[in-house]
Amino acid sequence: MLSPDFVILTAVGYVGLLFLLAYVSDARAKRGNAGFLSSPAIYTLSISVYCTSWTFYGAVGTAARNGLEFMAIYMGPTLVFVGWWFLLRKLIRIAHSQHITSIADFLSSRFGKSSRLAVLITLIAVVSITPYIALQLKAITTSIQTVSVAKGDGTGHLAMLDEVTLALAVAIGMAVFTILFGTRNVDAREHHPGVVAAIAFEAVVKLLALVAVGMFVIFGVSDGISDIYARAVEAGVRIHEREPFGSRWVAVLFLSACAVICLPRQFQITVVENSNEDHLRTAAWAFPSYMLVMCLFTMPIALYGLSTMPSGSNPDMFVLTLPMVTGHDALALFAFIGGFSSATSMIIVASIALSIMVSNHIVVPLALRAVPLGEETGERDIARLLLRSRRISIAGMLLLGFLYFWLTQDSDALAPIGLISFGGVAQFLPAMLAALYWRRATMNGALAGISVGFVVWAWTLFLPSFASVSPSMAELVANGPWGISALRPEGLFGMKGMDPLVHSVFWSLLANISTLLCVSVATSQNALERIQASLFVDVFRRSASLRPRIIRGSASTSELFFVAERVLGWQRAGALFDSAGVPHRQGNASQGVSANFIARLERELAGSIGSASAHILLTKAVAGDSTSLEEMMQMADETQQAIEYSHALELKSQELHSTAQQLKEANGLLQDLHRQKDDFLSQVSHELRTPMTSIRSFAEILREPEDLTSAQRVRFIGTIHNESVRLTRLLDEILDLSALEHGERNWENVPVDAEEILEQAIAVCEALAKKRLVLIENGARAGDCLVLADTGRLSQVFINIIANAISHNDSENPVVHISSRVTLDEYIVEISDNGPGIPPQYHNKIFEKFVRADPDTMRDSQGLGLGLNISHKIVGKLNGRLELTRGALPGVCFRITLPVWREAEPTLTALEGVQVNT
Amino acid sequence: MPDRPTPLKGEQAGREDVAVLVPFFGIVLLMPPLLNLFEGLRAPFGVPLEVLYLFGVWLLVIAGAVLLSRRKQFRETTPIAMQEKNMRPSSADPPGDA
Repeated sequence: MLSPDFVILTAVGYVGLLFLLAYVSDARAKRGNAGFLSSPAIYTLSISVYCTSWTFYGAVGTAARNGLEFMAIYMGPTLVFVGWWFLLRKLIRIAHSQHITSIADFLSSRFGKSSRLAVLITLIAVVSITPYIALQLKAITTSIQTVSVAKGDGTGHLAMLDEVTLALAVAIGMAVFTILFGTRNVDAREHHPGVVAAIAFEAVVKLLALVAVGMFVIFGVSDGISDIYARAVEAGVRIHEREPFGSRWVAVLFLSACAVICLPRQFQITVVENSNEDHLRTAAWAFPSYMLVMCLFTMPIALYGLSTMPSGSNPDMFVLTLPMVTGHDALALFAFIGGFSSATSMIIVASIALSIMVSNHIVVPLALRAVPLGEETGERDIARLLLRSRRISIAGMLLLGFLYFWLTQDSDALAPIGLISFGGVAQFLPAMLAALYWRRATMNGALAGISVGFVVWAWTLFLPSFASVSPSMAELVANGPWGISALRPEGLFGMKGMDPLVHSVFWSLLANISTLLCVSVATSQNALERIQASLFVDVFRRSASLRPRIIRGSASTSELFFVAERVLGWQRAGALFDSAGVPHRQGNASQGVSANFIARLERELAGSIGSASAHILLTKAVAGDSTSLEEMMQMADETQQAIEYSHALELKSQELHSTAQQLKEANGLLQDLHRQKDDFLSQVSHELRTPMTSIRSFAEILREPEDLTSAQRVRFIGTIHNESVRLTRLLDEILDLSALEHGERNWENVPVDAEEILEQAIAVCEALAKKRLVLIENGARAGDCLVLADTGRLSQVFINIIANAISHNDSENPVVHISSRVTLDEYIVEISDNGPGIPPQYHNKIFEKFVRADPDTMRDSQGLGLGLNISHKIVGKLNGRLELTRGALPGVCFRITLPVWREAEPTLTALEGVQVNT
Repeated sequence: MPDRPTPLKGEQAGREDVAVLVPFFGIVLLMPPLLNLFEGLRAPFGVPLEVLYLFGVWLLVIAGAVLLSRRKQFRETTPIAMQEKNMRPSSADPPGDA
């Protein structure tokens, strides 16, 4: 029931609303009152300019033709956004610090502010995006026709228009609208808050429209999701994939991931228009969620359309035709507005982004070269030139889009056109990644890689899209040029059985990447390239103060001010000079300026005209640039070296710190040992002195024999003898210890029965135990067990430990518990007592020389504190262990562990070597 | 010399390691070998399982991104604020030393 006039008037009214919205937002932003406009929500919504009419109408068509493949187009960007931390964050950081205005500016700035590269990328972008704009024109035209003609009877004056005229009218309308919208002035950083606000609004409209149609299809005309699938099965529609997911799925996933980074409009919205890096954190999940909702209803709409619409109806228009055939005109109109929104937002942003590239990288450099500096005077003449060239290029872009549409109007579906564009811009990806992560990538490498990739893409994907234009073109696509089948666009070198898209992606990117790599390795970077490379690759490592000085020369302030005024206008240039404290009024303006200020001026200019043009402009104004550039390079290198040097220093000082720590510990240990040695000497002297003193005094008494009875004499001589024995024993112990410490083993190990030796040792100690009233308790015993040892030494160890346990036990009912056992290959003896135990602080050094747990009682004990030390060393030499453990009784428990000797072992049979050495 | 001390090596690595998880599993789960596991099966509501699988992976990846974005370590100061700091005339910019 909708008349064409009404539909078109609605569209015009909607555009008017958008314009109002953009105008109000711009005004608010200018007053510095951006508020909600600069929120993460608006940022996320504006990124959804990715979802064009191709999504709105085309996704349903793709779903109807190719099943789930349409989802790959949205899952690729999802992967890029959830991985924002690695790629997008770095892109945005660089763009902010370098005042990047477009993807061409980004790559040219990275590769030494090369104009050639910027021009190449601009041209490729224009060629690649043309089909995409044509696609939007086609979508708008077809939707107007569908929504108005399907039931229309040809009344109203606009119904007379044929498809081509309608498309031309739409293109002209869009051009006027975009020029009014996007080129009202040249912003400092290419921020268009008004445009962004309008795009965000359109994002909401298209989402609501698609959700409305989806809900209508699922719940309005059918009975939920399962009903739709059931109906589709009934109508014979295939609901499963025709063939398993394969290379085409991967190719589409990859291309769409490239596209969301490399499409000029996505770069413009995601990177250039970004006002706050933190917004990306939200967009990382919010944008994928937006796309998810957009995709939810695609499959149901497609299936419902396929199963209910008459065969031959265009699945690309199901979103419109489904509400119409059921008579819901209002819903159809809403759906039309949604599709119109998605098409216009794409056209607006894409043509603004492309016009910025064309004016900054083609028109301005040409103008600068043609007109010598200072000839065309007047405030902001360059700015005016920019605006004019942008307006013209927007019109030019839409004209190109229209021409493509006109040439390919017989081709059937929307989706292939979109993928052709994606393939074109994907050629930027290798250079882009190299720009971000590979310091050594050169301008020539990037230039060659992109060119080669682009040529292959144009031959294998772009050209075949014209197959329907003329028979000769169709012939070329079918059989190759001059009949050479190896050069057939869709089967290079005879490659067969591949989907044309996969084929093109494979060959173009293979050529692109390998050229980039080889040429980069073969060529060298100039000074500016190296500076820019380190600025880009190390953007997170350098702080802002390390930014090298870009141009150093002898320009006077008046010359610089003149240049700045031409681009920025008198007011902004004046503000810039004033804020830096550089005088610019006539009369006192012949002073020189600092290199830092020139660098800053260059960045400001780059924000308006792109880095390559800004560089050319300032290079012309500043004398002696080429020589000082070398100085610059040196400075940059020195800075880099300073960073690396300081990093190395930091590492070294950490190393030194740890070495000092180790030395300190070693020194502590040495001092400890030294103290022990002193202690040892004084102990030994003390111990030797006591018996010596008594021997001497008794000897003196014996020298005067008259007062002595013979009984007394015998007693005295007995004492002297006892003391000498004690002295000898002491010296023996010290000698023994010294021998053990020097690592010599002055005995030979032979198989002996350990259990028997233990029995003997207990028997020896029984006398001492009786004297001290200590009860020796025999625990579980191992029975016969052979170990490799020396009988005397082993019994020395046992006796020493049992005697210790007896003599240090001062409890009321002293008990010593002895047990032994054999495990798989070890013989274990445990000797424990119920004495006071050893205080924890002695646990670690109980086996050291002269260490006694109870210094107070040491006077009456006869040992020197050497016994445990000697025992420990002996057990060590028997390949066993002497440890302090927790035992059966509350006091101390020593455990002696010795390896069991087995017959099989080819050890000593030399039993004659048995010696007792104590 | 850098303005602020470089962050500890360990902390940096942790951030990167966490951030790589979501895209990694996203890519792996969307590659054909796993995708084709569900080919031809139908779920309770009559919907083919591959459709549910794709949406499931999508939701999973979004949930991962939400979790990441809420972690404190991924918040950073805005570069705009940094830039404005740099815009002010500083002592490094003495007039006329050329």
